[in-house]
Amino acid sequence: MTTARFLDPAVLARISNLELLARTVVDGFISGLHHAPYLGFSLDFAEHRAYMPGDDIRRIDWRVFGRTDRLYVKEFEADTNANFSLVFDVSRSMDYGSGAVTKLDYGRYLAACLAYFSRRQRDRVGIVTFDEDLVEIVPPSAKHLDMVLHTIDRIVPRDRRGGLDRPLRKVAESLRRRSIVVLISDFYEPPEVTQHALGYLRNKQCDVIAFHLLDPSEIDLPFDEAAQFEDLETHERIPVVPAELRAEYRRLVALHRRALADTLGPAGIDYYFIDVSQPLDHALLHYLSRRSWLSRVR
Amino acid sequence: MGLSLLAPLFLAGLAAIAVPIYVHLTHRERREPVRFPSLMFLRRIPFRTTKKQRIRHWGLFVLRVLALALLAAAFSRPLLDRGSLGISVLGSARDVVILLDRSLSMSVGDRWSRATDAVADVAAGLGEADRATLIAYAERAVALTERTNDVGTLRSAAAMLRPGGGRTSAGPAVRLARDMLDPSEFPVREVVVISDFQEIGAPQPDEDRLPAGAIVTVVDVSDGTEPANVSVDVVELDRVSSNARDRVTATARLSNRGPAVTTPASVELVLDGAVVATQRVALPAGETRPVTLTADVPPGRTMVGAVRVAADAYPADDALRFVLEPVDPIAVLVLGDPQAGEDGLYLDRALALAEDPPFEVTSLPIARASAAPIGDAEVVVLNDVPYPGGALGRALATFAQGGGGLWVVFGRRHGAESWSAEGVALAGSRPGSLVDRVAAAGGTMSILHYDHPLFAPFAEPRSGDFSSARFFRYRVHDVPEDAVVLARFDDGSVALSERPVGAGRVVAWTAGLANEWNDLPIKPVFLPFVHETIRYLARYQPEPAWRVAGSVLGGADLAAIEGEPVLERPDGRRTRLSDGGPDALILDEPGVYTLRSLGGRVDARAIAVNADPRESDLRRGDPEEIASGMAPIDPGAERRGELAAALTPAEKERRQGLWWYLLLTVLVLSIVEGGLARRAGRVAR
Repeated sequence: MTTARFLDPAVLARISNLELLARTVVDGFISGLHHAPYLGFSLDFAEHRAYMPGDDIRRIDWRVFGRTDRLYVKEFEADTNANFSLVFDVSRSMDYGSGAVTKLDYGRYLAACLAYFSRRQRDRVGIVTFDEDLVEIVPPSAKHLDMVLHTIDRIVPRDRRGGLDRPLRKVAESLRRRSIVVLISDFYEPPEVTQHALGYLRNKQCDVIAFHLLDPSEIDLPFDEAAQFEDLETHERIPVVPAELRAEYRRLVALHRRALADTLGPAGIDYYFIDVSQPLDHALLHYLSRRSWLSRVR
Repeated sequence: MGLSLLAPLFLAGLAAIAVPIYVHLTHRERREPVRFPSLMFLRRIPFRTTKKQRIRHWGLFVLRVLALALLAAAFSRPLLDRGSLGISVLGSARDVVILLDRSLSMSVGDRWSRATDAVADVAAGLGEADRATLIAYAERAVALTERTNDVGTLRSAAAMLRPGGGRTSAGPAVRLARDMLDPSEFPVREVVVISDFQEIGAPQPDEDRLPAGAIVTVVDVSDGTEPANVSVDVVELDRVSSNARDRVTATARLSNRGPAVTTPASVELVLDGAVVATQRVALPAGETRPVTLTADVPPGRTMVGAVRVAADAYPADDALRFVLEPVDPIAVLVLGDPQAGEDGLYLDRALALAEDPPFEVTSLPIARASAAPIGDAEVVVLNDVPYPGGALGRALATFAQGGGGLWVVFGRRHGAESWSAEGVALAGSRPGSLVDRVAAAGGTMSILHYDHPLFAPFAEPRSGDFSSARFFRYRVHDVPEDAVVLARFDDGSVALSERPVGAGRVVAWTAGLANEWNDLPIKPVFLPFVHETIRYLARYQPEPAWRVAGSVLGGADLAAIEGEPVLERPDGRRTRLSDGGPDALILDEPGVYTLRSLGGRVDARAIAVNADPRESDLRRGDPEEIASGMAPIDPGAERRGELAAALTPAEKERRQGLWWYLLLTVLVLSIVEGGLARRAGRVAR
């Protein structure tokens, strides 16, 4: 069995143990990236500098002293003890999927993988689930991986409307230190509302990565028969003739995605769109590249 | 090459195409709502009603429409008119016309069964590409089938047929066969004649022949021998009323057409089913003898009778049926001048000698005449008397207007001055001045209207010579425009004229009927002239005692029936002859027919029909000689053409079988459509 198959959401759906799933995906993914330029970003050695009085003598590289008879101190590139918070939208609209997995399932896999991956980097991991308000909070901690995975495993869609402003404001208020915040949502909010909500996190100097999950049916509206369309959250119904609305719908979705990218990017928020029918590696790769960049700029 | 349809009405099924159009245009809503994460974007799009929808699933739509169209096309049985198709498949096909003799002589012995067997043999010998048409003929020819190679059709058509009462005449059959074969483009054209080949049925030398290239094959169903045959050829009937009984005298002409002398056999006169007279007669072979039979019958009764001889090998001509009508004399009223003396002698004698029918003559001086005898008469003769005025004149006018016949004879006694106004109105003009041609030794009647029914019996040579009569005096008669001049003298003066008056007829004779102004009364033609004039004025139309098989019943025969006429055949079958039925009918079956109005029996009229006496001549001709009389003059000439054009549309369609391919295509389309529809359904859900 190849590793790539484990990145397929349909295959992942067969693995009930979320930790096993995350480990399988991440380990396989990392080994697959053996020669990638993103290797060793957090604990890697950066440079030597001359010892200065006051430096911790435990950081003196004694091997260099033995060869050169001079004291040098090791410098590393990044902080390896960052707070990693998953902010997971569990509103009813996430419980939708036209294929093997729903957006919620996909987000669950993604969140588990990212939590596991971050823990490997010795980050403190936590999770917040929300709909129109906060649902569950696991504060970031080096010992909370199991709790995070357990929380992810217990996520059930709530029959409540979603919203970003209120929950994200509360999340921002709860953060005590600078964190890496990964927001997983379908972003059924106007782009300016989204930008405003994420602004709470940015104001806390958090690095925010927004994963926008959409099902292929939400992107293409491939329905054929005219029907009453019911909103999963509001239960509102409207008559829809998909064949007639399809083009306009696609245009509006594309416009929404572009607007999100255009508004969040300049605000320092990393926006990444994910089609839940696509393998997880795209999302993981994007996270790794982003994390690498964050390590360098810090 | 063109496409045509055998059952184009099935194209109406194309209307079913409206169903997929409706289905594809009407976007039906699913009953179950589609649960969707968010309607945020859908709400922003203006709502559109289904009326603005276009056809969706073009592929499915086209498949469904195509399947329906092909289905309708398959049921309409398409065929291609391709000339090359037939000729390439069927290079030496035969177009066979079977001429089946169904004349009365075919009823002799087992001739008819042998003939139907011969038809079956010809049908069985047809190849795949051959076609045959069955024509039955006697004195007329009728095609019983279309071109076919179906053995069953030909056999059943022949089996349903029986010998008729007509005589053999090959001419009409040859003409019909020629009309069918001439446009035929079959490579081989053949005529099979199945007959007993009577000599009398041979085609005449100047008759039509079969088209060039046609082959004639003969099938002789006679056994080559002439059977014993005594026939009753004709019967002359004379019915004379005497006291309380009528005496009927039937003079029959018997012929022995067989090869042997007959032993003395009884000849019977049968009236209303009872033998009323019998006579024994012996006939040598080939001889004809008259036989007279007499019987007394009740007066005033119509009787159906026959003269018959003992049955022989050809029983169809052993009896001659007839309808014996009662004596019905014509009532004639002669109004004369009391001073005329012997002037009316010739007219009276001539009227008294009438026999067929007799005249019931009443002679009255005009001074003693009244309206009563006029009303009883069918014909009134004003013999050299002025047209009366007053009530008598009006009665005469009414009589003529009502359909009576008035014969006005201008004579020496009364000229123009004596005519009343009623007379002028009736005759159209007064008698004019006297023309005296004594000095010129008299004139003659030179111009006679022989086409007129009155003079028609004199049209033939030696049937009446009017030119021998000399006319010394006559009166000028200026006939009105609505009158017809039937005869003129040699100076152009009118001798006899007719004027229609209402429903009646007025005939004016300008030269008197006494042997004084002319010598016509002493000429032989005088008697028939007077009789014909009276018959014409009385509209006398004798009903024939019998008709020959093949006669047409219609027109005047049916007009005499009040209500809807129904004809009952000798075998009991009935035919309505008005709405929904034929307006004329051929009496082709010997026997006694009954014509009546629907639902009534009072006005029933019997019609006796006998076989054509010529058909009794069973002498056999040479089949090869008869066939050569039908065959084309240039038998070597051949024409070859494209067979396909000669095939009937049904045959072409059956041969091509395009509907099978269309149905197969429909099946394939249905399978593809099913797959596409399921796929589309999954997408929709």
